Order: sequence, then C-alpha cells, then structure tokens
Amino acid sequence: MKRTHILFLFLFAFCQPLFPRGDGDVAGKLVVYTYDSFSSEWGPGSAIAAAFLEETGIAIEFNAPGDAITTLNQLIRDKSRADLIIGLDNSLLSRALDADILEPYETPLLELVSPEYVIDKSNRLIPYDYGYFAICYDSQLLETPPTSLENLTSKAYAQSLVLMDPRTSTPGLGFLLWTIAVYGDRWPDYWERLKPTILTITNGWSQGYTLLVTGEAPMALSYGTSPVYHVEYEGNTRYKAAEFSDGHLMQIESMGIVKGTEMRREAELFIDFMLNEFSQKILAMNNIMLPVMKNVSLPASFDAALQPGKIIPYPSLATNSEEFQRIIDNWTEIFSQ
Amino acid sequence: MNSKSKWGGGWILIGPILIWGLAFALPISSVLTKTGMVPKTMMQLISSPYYRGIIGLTFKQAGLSTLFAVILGLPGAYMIGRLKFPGRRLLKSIGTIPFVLPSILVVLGFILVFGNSGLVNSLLRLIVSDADGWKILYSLRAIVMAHVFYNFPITLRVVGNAWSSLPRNTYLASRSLGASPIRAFFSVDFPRLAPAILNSAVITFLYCFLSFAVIIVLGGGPQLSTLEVEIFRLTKYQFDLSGPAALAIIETTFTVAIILALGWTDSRLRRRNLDDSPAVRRELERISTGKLIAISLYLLPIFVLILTPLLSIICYSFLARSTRAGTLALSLNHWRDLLHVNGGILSVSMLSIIRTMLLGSIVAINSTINAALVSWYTTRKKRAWILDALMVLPLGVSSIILGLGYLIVIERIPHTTMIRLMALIGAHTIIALPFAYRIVAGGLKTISPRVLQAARSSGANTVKSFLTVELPMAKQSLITAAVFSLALSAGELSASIILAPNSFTTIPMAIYRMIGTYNIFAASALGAILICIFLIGFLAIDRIGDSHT
Repeated sequence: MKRTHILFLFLFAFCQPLFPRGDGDVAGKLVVYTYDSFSSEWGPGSAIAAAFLEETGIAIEFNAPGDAITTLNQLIRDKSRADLIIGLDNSLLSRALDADILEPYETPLLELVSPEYVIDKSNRLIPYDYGYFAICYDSQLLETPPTSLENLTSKAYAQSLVLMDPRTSTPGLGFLLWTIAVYGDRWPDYWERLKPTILTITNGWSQGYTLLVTGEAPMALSYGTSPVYHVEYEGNTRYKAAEFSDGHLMQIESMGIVKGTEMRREAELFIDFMLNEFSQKILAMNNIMLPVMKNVSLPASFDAALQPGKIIPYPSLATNSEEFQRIIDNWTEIFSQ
Repeated sequence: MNSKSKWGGGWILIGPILIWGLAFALPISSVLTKTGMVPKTMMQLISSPYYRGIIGLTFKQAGLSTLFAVILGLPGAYMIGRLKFPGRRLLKSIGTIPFVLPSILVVLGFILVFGNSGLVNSLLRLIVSDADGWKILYSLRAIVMAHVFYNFPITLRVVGNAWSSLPRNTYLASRSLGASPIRAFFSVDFPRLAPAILNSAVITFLYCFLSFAVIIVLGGGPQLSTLEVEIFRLTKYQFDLSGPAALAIIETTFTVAIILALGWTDSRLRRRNLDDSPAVRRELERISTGKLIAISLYLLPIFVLILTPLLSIICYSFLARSTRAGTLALSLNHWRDLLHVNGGILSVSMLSIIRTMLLGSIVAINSTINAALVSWYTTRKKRAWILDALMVLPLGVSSIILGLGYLIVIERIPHTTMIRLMALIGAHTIIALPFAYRIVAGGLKTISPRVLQAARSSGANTVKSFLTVELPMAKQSLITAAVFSLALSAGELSASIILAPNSFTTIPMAIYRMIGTYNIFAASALGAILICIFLIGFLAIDRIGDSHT
C-alpha cells in the first residue's frame, strides 16, 4: 500500500508539467470569461491577448466553458473569480444587468461608437462588434433561396435547414426571438409549420454551420456576414446569406467589467484595447462580425456581407423572466414526440 | 481459516473501501440528496410532455436497437456455436471489435460511411450522377443503425458461447426418440439458449438506454434526445444541478428495475435446465457447400459492416481537401499537423494523446491495485458476496450521472484544476473497477488452494506467499485488468466531457470537438491513433486469454 502511494505521488509529480496550469495560479493575470470560439486557437481572443501582453505586460487568462449563455450562467455562479466578461449579446443583456454582476465603465472611446450600438445606457456593457442573423445557403445546392420566414416553410425546403438550440446557443436564441419579433404571440404556429424544413438542431453555432459547408445541409442559421469568410479565406462566393423581407435582427456583442474586481485598471485597459483599430480589425476578420468603431477600414471581401434593407428591434424580453422561461418551455414542447 | 488470515484480511481493504467510498458512494449519494429526495421536481419532470417524450424516445430507440441487434447477432451466434468452417475464429475475434471500440469512433466511422458526402453517397453519385443522396444522419434510423452495429457482437458472443456449450446427451436422446432437428431444437436447445438470448438482449438494451455519443452526434436537438443526453445538456449548459439530479434518479430507477427483472427471469429460466448432466459438449458440425454459401452470405456483409467504418477512419486520415468543398487528394497534412512542434509547443492532438495515456496509466494502476486487493480478500473468504456486489455496482450507474455526482461534490469547494483532475481520475477508476475486479478475481480463483497450502507449510507467511506465489501466478490477469482499464479510460467520453478542467482534452474529447466542427480528417488521424491503442490492447488481451485457457 505505502509503496503504491509513493508511486502514485511520483506519477503525479512527473505529470504536473503536462497538465494545464490553471485556476490555482491566477495572481497577476486578468481572468476573462468568454465563449469558447472566442478564446480557441482560431478565435480572435488569442491574437488580441498576445498583443495586449506585449503592449502592457498584463497576461490574460481565458475561461471559456461553452456558449455565451453557459458563460453567463457560470459567471453568475462564481463571479468572484472573474475580472471581465466578453461576448454577451442583446438577448443576454437584461439578464446580465439584473444579476448585478457588472461595474460601469465610461470609456472615452465610446465617442467613436455609433449610438445605435450602445445597448446599455448605464455603460456596464460596452459593445465591440455586431452582425445580423440570417439564413445562409449553399448556392450550388439551392437555386432559389428563401425570401422570408414564411417562405422558409415551403415544401421545396423540406429537411434542409440546420438550426441551433435556443437553450444552448445565442444564434439559436436569436432566431427564436426573430420569429417572435415577426409573429408575436403566433410564433408557436409558425414553428409548427417550420418543423418539416428542419434537418437538425445542433447545440452550438459551429456544429450547425459546418454542416452547411461540408454539404450535409443546404441551409443553416448564421450571420449576414458569414459569406465574407468564404470570400476572404477561400476566394469563393458559393455560400450566400438570404435576405428576408421580414427584416433582420441585429446582434450586438458586448463586454463588461465584473463587479468587485481587484484589477479594475487592467480591465479598463483591456476594454480600451478591444476598441482600438488593431483589435477591431482582428474581431472583424476572425469573428466575421462588423466593427462598432467608426474609424476601421475593412477589406473588399466585406462587400459580400448582407446589407439588410430592414432591421427589426429585439423583442423586449428579459431572459431570466418567467415569461421567457415559458417561451422556452413552449418551444421544447413543439418538439416533444 | 487460521488466525493469520483473519487479521490478514481486514487492513488490506482499507484503501479500496476508502477509494470506493470517496470516488463512488459520495458522488452518487450527493446526486440523491441534491433533489432532497423530494418527489416534487420529479413529478414536475414526468408531467411535462417534453420530458415524457424524452423518456418515450429513450425506450423506443433502445427497444428497436436491441431487437435488430439480436436478430443480426443470432445467425452468427449459431455459426460460432454449432458449425465448423474457415473463419470461425476470425468471426469470434472480429465480432468483439465493435463492442470494445469507444463509441466516439463508432460515430466517426458512421459519419464517414453514411454522411451526405460519405462513402455510400459518393458511390451512389458515381452511379447516378444527380442523385439526391441518401439522408440518414440526424434521424432515429441513424441512431438505431449505429447502435445495432455497436451492439450485435454482444449477442454474437454471449449466445455463441451458450450454443457451443449445449449438452450433447439430451439432444441426442430427443433425436433418437424420433424428433426432427427443428423440433429437437425448440424442445431441447432453445430453452437452454433462452437465458443467454435474454441476457444479451438486456445488456444491449441497457447500453442503448444509456448511450451518449451516438445520440448526441447522430441525433441531437430537442426532437432526438434521451434521458442521458438531457442530463448532460442540463448539467453542461444550464449549470442546473437539481434538474439533472432528478432525471438521473428517474433514469437509474429504470436501469435498476431492468437489472432486477433480468435477475428474476434469468433464475427462473435457468431453474428449468437444472437437471442437465454435466455438459458433454456437442461436436461442431462440418458443413456442406450449400451451407457454406449461406454462411458467406451472412459473413461477408458482417465483415464489411465491421471493417468499413474502421478502415474509413484510417483512410480518411491520409486524405485532405484542397478547399472545404474541393476534391479529395492524398495528403499527410493531418499527420504532420499532429506531430508538428511549434516553438516547443505540442499540437492539441499530440497533447491529447499524451494526456490520455497518462490519465489511462494512472487509472490502470489505481483500479488494478484496488481490484487485486479486494479480489485477494474475496477469493479466500466465503461470505464475500457483499464485496462482490459493491465492486460491480458502479456498472449500474451511467458515466454522465457519475460525472454529475462529482460536480455536485466539488461545487461547494473552490474547484481548481487539480481537484477537477482528481475527480476525473476518480471517475475513470470507478468506471474501470468492475471490469478490473472481475478479471483479477477470475484469475485468482483459478489458483489452486493446494499451491497456497504448500507455500504456507514450507514456511511462507500470508504476505510472503502472496508476493512469491500468488502474485506471479496472477500476473496475467493483473496485466489484462490494467490493459483493459487503460483502454476503458482512453475511450471514455461522457464523464470526461463533464469533469475535465479547461484545456485538458483527451483523445475522445478532441475527436468529439473535431466532429463538431466537421474537421473530419483531423478527427480521423486522431481516431486512427485511438484505434491503434485499442488494437494493441485488444490483441494483448486476446493473446493472454488464449495462453490462459
């Protein structure tokens, strides 16, 4: 027994360098909660964090438990461990503000942000990029793209749309809110009609969108800016975003300083850094979203982005309210067997 | 029993019992207490149409999968059990492969073969150029097909073994009394096969009932979700621990009820066959050409069914597309990426391999030592059935629920990376322990008590006889147990995905994520490595098993 314990300890000591260094030694690091695709090797997070470290000497530690909804859930649970949160959108705004977990920061850089993007007048959540939800399609598989939410229910599109689960994905939630904005109380009827069009509902955006680009499905819920990626990095115009006559919902992504942080100054520095031209460009090129700052010039590939003729406001729904929970329950019941 | 072995017994169990209590009993009991045993949450869940639908689908997919898996497995079981033909041994070995494969590889192989741009549809488009393609993924059909592929070997092995050990005399007696072969089969053989068929069906049902990777990848969404996936979704995404705890209790109630029902029916079925004389095995039949053709009609599709997904994984790892929708070309890119070292930093895939092997080794050492200590005790005590039962009990709890239990336990303490890792090691150890225990106890039981008496009478004390006699004799089963534990840990996905700390990625987790982003080729490269790990383990066990018998 003793010998095995010693062996065990040895194994552990030996393995230590190979295990990730994590939550135990965060002193001096700015802990940023964010969604996983932001901080992944391919996301904008690592490039911005590296440049930030070089300029200020402050290291960033990302904690990315999953989608933005998951991230907010976790932050509300253990707020004492975070300094900043990045990636909350309109649908999570009221929930984050009601939870009272953020401190206001009036950055002078807000002057360069168009007022339509400033979703939180109390400046606890500061916008950094935006985009429009849209149904993207593969023009080689689909000759006539849908023209409206109603048109999407047509028999011609049976079994061809990939959506995301509104319980686990912000675009998924965005699409549900889009249908509520257009159909009001009659949204469940719309979803009943939409059901035959749906091929599958994935947990997150990346799983869903990759079904489109690998030819598994001709349509997927994504962003009006998604075609930009294919033009910029693959030089092809095969994937397009369909413009809907109902209008499109504008998603604004924002960040905020966590209440009670001991690194307030560093957090402010990072927020300003996210709004400088370098980061705004990385966000545009990497997240394939549009920058909120006025002074950022974008490459020609961004001409491929959908410019919706009509923008519709988010339906006013607090995501932690009972009404919201009832909507989610209703939505899941539509899919009960 | 002499006095020595009396005191020699107790202390040896301290370690295993401590680990069992901390790593299994504690998390599971916290799942129970989390709901406060209040039936209110549970009633709420059961009364919602959504969750009723989920429960319904869980039963439906498991029932359909079991039905088809048993039907597909029975002819093979008959061949293994009754016939002598070239390839019998191969069928037996190859038939085991899907069963020991990690489910994530089954899923990966399934996508490569049946996906919209997979093997079947590519062939279809070669023949009919404007074919729409056969849409099979994301449906109940896809789930059932993957489950059948994954589980029919259970029937093949279990019923095949029963078939080959049928008693000879009763059958011959009934034939000589004038019964036709068919009648003799139904009156003599079938009742004796029934327990084996029932057992394999119930095991298959339980595996499908608790299936995770297959459902979450090939089904998914609210339309195709099961209890296990729903527990995962609530735990992982909603940070709600009492909802999933209630679902976990519902799920476990079902599995326990199924296991108890099996035990009851099984003992009734067996009681009828008690009067069998010690079995003299019937000889295997030599087969005619006609039968040989019939057999190959079964065997060829089976071999194709088993080997195509595996070979696809290996082939795909050597392919690449020029662009996302470009044409396929031979390429070593994914292997280069895997082995690439960038400024002293290993690739994510390489790190996942190292971490998986390290985690697996710790788990293997841990579970084998514990299994050995307990088996050493249980093989020399007569009334050790409680310990027996305790060791096997973790089999009845799904890995997701185990993971959930750990989350509830560490929820109250600041969960550092180290604690998360300990939880992961604990969960994997508990998952491997029942198997390790069965293997080691089986090995120790074959050592004749006379050998031990001889050792004692020549002056060796308990410890010395253990170290010098039993340990070397049990070496093979210890190695088998360790290899098996390592393989189980290396293939485990669901508990890992819940418990692993940020940025600690094992091979199955990496493959799961790569499938999620449809990085099929990189997933295949990593999948090929996992297949190698399993083949080496499988061959080792197969060989040790051979030299054993």
